[in-house]
Amino acid sequence: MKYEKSILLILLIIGVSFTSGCWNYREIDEMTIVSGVAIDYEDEKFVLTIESITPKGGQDVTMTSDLTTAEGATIFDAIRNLIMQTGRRVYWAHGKVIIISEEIARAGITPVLDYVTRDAEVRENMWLVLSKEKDAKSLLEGKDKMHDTISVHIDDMLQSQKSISKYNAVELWRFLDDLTADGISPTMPMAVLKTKRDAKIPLINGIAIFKRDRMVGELNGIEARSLLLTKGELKGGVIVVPNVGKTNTDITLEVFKSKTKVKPELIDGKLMMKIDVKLDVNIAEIKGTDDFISEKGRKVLQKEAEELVKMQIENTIKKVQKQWASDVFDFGGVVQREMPDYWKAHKNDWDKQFAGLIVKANAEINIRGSALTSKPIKVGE
Amino acid sequence: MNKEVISDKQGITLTILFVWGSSVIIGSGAGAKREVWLAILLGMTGGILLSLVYARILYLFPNQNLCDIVLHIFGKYIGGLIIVLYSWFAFHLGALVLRNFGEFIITVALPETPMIVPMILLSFLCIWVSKEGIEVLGRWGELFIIFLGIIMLTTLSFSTTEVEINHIRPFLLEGWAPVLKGAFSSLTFPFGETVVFLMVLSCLQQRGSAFKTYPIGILIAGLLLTAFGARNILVLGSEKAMVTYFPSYAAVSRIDVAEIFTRIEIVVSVSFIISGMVKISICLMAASRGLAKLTGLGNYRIIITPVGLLMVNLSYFIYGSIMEMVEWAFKVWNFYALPFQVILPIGIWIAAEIKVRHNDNKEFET
Repeated sequence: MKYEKSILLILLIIGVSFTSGCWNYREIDEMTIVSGVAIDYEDEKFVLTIESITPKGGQDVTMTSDLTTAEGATIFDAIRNLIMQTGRRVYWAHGKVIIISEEIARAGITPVLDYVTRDAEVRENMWLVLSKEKDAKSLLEGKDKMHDTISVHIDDMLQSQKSISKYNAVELWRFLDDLTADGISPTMPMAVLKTKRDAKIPLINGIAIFKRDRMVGELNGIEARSLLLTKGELKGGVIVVPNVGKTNTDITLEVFKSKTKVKPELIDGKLMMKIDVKLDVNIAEIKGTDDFISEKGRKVLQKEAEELVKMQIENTIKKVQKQWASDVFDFGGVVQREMPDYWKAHKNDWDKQFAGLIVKANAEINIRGSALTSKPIKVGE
Repeated sequence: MNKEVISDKQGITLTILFVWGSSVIIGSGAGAKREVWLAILLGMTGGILLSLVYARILYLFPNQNLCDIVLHIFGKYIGGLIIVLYSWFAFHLGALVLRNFGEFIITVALPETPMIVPMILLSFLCIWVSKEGIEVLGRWGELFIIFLGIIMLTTLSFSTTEVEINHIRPFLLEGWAPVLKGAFSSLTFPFGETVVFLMVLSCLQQRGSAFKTYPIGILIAGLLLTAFGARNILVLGSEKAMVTYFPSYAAVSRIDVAEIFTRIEIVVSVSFIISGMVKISICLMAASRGLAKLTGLGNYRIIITPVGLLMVNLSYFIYGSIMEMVEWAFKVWNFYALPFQVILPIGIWIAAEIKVRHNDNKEFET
């Protein structure tokens, strides 16, 4: 009796440790790991191109990448049709980028996004990129020497977004948040192919503007920066102030910190948005020999830079208001938070309200340093 | 008859774990949108008031559980009917929680595993612990609530990096109606569900202990649930938190602290297994006790296994899909649970007060 129990226990331990396992486990070498996907629309069918990576063992672990294309009536159909070529189910949890063709974006993006948010394997922090090339898949066909795969390359570009700020980096969940929330329209960075020596590599520049779930227009790099600044999402980047003080000197400022305050005000029954931005910058480059570092020069530079930032913000907002009337600046959200009653009254015609908004921007630039040197390069006699 | 006794601390622990049960996973206070935290707070306040009624019932009849009490007050037939109702309620509730667990596992982790497999495994565990009795469960809970507390506090504090304060502004945009609706919903799920404890909590140390374990347990659990609700809204935004089946899981999966602490959502499943197991076990015990009382079996433990297996069966065919589960939990449950959680207990309480007064007078005569 005494031994029976311990024998039972030992049997149990042996059984548990040797016969346990996952119900349907998959080994890593049996998986096709997706690192990026491009989605096109052709002949009323979705064309899905995945970039898959296969880790190769040995002394140095290397990655080999491969492109596979399949089509289907829906996204999930196309994903399962991939099996006809890959022979195995593809694994999504390591996916980094989703590239969507402009054609799909202009027709409405929800049919594409539904599956990727619904499925448990697809991570919600994949990047969304819009392809300016006719075929989204051509972006994945580029070659890049620095990275193993194009998806990793795009991932890197988006990770470094905060030091250039000429596009935004949009994760899937952020796009969906903006899409579903009241009073804000979503945006997405755009990519094109660029020829580098004989190979083509993708390049990201500018932002695509959406209205509801359709793409309506695009902003270039400078406008994209103003958009980020207005939304308070600017974390870095450079501002080039041309022709400072009529001396034909261009000065480049590097942004370190930005702070944005958007405040709605009612003036004679009309809604006005007051945008106050504060920037901490360094003088990063002076394209000339004139001294803009001394106090007098700094004042001139500061004033012109402030004027420039203010103009850029106002022009960008005006452009979006006039051409697409799509509230990508989250003004609707601001009004909703600050003036809930006004929002409730004008919720249903917000597009019209947005187009008629008066915008007053104000920039305050604080030049806090000039990197290592205190004077421009002095050219000797 | 060997008497089981659990300390006040264990009682509080069990109450906390019971309340967390499935609400840490599927969220509470549905319909309140941005003000979900306020709804849970209100629901908690209501829950505490309600629990005072429950505690009073237990206080009036020391060392008796609900089954004995109703038989004592209402006699064989009406009392028996009430026992049937409460046994069914506990049995049904246990099955629902078990099903929540099954749906959760197959939705987020093991989509190709038949749902019955994780459910059976968990139910075996619950049957085992219920057979061991509430003392064992109490001690077990006392140990595991530490893990659970650590998990919850770490996920909460790691979530702060993902917080977007604008998600909860403006306050009360749509007025009080949705908040009150959410508060009602959170009163019945999960706070009111503690009514099941009436059938097992005859084993507290002192006569007035229930006045301590009930409100304190609900308060602690409720405050953490409030924090969770607010966190989910702050991280996910009200729209996303409303459409996702498992908001806590989704919110925790956003956590990314310096790229080291990422993808830690599995700990949410762990906390669900711990607290869900307590909830199912208590429901199982309550249902078995009711049934044993009804059939005149002296020891409820011998019917725990059949009742537990029936519970698995019920939970397996009770819903056709996860959509039905959520619709039931947030639309029907409120009204279904109301008689069990509010109307009947208050009725029993009033009757109990009358009976006790009546008896007191009699006692002097005899």
